[in-house]
Amino acid sequence: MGLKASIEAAAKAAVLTDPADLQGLVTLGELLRQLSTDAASEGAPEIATRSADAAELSERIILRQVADVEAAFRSLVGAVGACEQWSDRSEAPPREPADPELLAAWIASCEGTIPELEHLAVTAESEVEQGKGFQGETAAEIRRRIHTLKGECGVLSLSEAQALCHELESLIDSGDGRFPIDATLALCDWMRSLTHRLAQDACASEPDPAPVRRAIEARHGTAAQQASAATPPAAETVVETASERGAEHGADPFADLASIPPDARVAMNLENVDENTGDFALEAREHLANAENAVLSLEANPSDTEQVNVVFRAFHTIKGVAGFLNLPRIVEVAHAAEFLLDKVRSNKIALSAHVLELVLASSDLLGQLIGMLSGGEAPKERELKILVRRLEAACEGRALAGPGGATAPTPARRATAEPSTGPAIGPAADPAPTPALPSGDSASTAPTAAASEAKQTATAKAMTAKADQSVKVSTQRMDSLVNLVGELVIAQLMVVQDPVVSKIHDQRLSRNLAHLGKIVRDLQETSMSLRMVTLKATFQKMARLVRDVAAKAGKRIQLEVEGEDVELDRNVVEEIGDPLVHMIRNACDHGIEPADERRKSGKDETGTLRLRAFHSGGSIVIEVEDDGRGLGRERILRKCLEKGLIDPTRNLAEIPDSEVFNYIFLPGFSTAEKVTDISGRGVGMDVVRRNIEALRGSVEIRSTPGKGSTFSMRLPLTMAIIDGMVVRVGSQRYIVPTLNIERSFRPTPDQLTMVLQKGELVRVRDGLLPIYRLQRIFSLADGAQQLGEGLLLVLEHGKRRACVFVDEILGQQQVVIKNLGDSQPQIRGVSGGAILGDGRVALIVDVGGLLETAAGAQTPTSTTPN
Amino acid sequence: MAITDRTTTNAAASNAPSHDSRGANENKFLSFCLGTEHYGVEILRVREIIGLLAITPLPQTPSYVKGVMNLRGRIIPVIDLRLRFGLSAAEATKETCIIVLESSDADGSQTVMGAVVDSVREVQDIAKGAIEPPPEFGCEIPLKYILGMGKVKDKVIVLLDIAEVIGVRERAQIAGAIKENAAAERRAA
Repeated sequence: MGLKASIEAAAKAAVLTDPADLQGLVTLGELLRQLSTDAASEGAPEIATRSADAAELSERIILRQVADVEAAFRSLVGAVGACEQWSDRSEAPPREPADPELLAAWIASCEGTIPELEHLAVTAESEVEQGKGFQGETAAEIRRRIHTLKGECGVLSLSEAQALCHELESLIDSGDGRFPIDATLALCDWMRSLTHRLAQDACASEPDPAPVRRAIEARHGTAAQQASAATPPAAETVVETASERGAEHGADPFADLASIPPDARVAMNLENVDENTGDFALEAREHLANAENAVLSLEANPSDTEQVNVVFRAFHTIKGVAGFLNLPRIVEVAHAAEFLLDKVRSNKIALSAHVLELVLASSDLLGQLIGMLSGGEAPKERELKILVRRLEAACEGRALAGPGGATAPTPARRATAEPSTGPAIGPAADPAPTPALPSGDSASTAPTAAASEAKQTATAKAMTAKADQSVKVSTQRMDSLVNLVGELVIAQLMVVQDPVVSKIHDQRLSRNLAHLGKIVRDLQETSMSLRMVTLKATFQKMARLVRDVAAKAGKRIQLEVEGEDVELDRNVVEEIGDPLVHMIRNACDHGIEPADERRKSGKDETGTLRLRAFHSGGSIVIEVEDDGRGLGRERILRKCLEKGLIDPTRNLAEIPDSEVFNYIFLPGFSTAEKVTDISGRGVGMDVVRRNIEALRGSVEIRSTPGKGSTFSMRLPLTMAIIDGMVVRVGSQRYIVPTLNIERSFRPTPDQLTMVLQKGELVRVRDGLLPIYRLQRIFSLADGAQQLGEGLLLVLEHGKRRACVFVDEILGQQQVVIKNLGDSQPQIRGVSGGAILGDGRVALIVDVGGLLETAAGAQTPTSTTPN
Repeated sequence: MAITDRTTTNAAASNAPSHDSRGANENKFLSFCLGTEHYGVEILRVREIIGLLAITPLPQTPSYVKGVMNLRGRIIPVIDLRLRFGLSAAEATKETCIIVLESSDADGSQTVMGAVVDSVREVQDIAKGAIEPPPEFGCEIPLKYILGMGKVKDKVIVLLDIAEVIGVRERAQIAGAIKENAAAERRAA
């Protein structure tokens, strides 16, 4: 490595490292050693010594052998800077002007070559246009000229010119029969400008090569796109309009697609994927979600023109941006869908179930195509072509069925009539430009339809107004902001609790510190609220899920949603997605009976699934309620006996419902007679419970045979903060959530009793409570021995109540709950850790677990409410 | 050969902080002492070296798990390498420090754990060719933790396989031990 390059590398590394970055420091040390060697061999002894010293210093910093890490690091960076300065002083001399005679001769010859090159390029272009193909001779001639030019530039040390010529040569060499005219002409322009500059000043710098480069890049990119008449259609083709397809008759409208191999996947040029494409993907998915919701709403209410617009706009926007980003396959599908929707909204085509189905299929396919941008699997080429064909056909009023179930919308979906609350809809037979929206039936309901339409537009407007007031932020940034605020809280506590500071009795200082504390607390609350999102998106996903699952199971199920505006921590919302899906699938598959069974039991043929979210006592509750057949208590008990989960001698009738229902949470437990591909494999419920418990939540089941079941998830409001009492046992501190503390007191000897030499009890107002010593439970070495020397905390959790013995109560504060190590196993009685003001870790007591363990209870895997 | 296989799988599984320096640091090892023995770990697995600080003990964990500590706002577990390897415990001295290690497993889970050692020595280059398989016997620590024996100048140091020392198998062992301890306590109660 040259000396200059070494210095640059070291300087860059120094900028990118900080004292806490061990890997960075190791690299920096290595670069410094390298620099020292280079400097020594290139006769720069001062740089050599300085960098060798710096390398050694970096090693000492790594091994923490320096007293003040920050200061050492600063002097390390300083040393690198000094090396830079030394080398700057002896800069490499500017480019030598070429021999003036040589230069003049070259300029003169260029003035001839450049026009000739342009002429050749233009000739080549017109030859191609005239269908003569590209004459090999002309291409070879052009290439020869450029090659010569490249050599000449090299002799004159015109490096940029040389590079450009080389790149153009490669482009021509890679030619697929199409000559890069634009790039050649761009180069010619550029060379002209270069020769002008050099003619005026022999030492002039070369002009900006960017325009030429752009032309070359563009050539690379569009090479595959250009479908010239002479060349056979490439894999990526331009969208063909419906009119070209127009006259396709025959038994199988897709017969001509048989030439596409059945397993061929869609190809997409992913060379230019960058952060713009990432943003596009995110937004496109949002648009698709909006479109899907609009479709669902249109199924219920087909006369809602605003929803049609929503769908149209979604595809239109996606098409536009995809075009801009050069993603032709996405453009192809989006265009076909948009075209169809445009016809619908201008009333040229009726909105039918078929159209809606196609729209959903397009949305799915686009979703897959967009997924390819982040490495997802490509859909099948045939699928894409078939869908586009069907969309085009629909534009002409023809409803083409997908060939034998090869495409996404299955016949089943159409066959099961969704409970239509609007007038019947059907494909329009006549694509005449009269409003083909369903008339007739709707005449009588017109006023109400119009009214609800108006209301829907109004709410749509209100919603967009609200939506406009939000900002998109990268989740990474937000998380790091929240973490920083958390650390700020701790840092502020450390200042306030510093022994030196707390000794200062200064009014102004106290006031300022209090003010600081308040601001920090407010900041913390606000930052925690940044992580809150509503359940709306999740519930909307469920709407689609219910529709699909119901269709697949051949049942009629309607979904009612309540409380989608309830807010939860973003992470929690993400985590409950899967459990909700499981529960809904189960409800649809096993809970709700098929239509005829329902009829026989006098129920409405359409089953109802209610998804509800609401606040209750400091937690959020999310419920999935169905009016199906309820949990089969007998079946569950039978399964339990089969698997040996219940002691067969127990009286089955005496086992409470809550216990029976809890058994379904065991892994592998399923009473489903047959395993459908929706559920029945017995995998679902244990995953559900595990996910929810990981969120410090709980699940509860209520069910009445014949009437239905309700699955209730209870989740803590915020993931991260609890209010706790800091207590001391021996030299260790623990945090007990104040939620579980009833009160505390110092016991007097007359309140204490001993049972069978083992259990200690204390008499309180309403009876006797057991005493558990934290020292013993946590196996601590030290702690007060005499009960009278410490305090008793009366703790409660669920139905359990007991006293816990601690040495001292140190205070009350809010703490940020942190996991103990990334995936630390569950330690009974401990729910996490918190970092106190002095930077030390205090364990947070899990009161429920503690009381359970201490009582030595032997319950099977039961879930206890938080 | 077994050793090269493991080193390549380790390199493949390694998910050290995405840093351009990774390539440069591949053959470097950090050497440290446990008692009179010298050991080494790949520098790529070392997040930080810090002096001994307050460790909060965790109940029900095996004796070599010293507890947890605060690493810049993150709580990580800390183990005592001497006890882990079955050596006798030692008094902490001025030189005692904690090496913060990290390891990624094939299932994508990442572990960050601190290990208490008697002292750290230096960072050295050890080419793959200079690493030899461990002897069949005579090693104080179980073979599965050993990557190989590295020759540095005139010393031979035992190179540790961090994925084994703190990886998913290790965590499973700790989890199992915690369960056992908890069960034992319940029986005694």
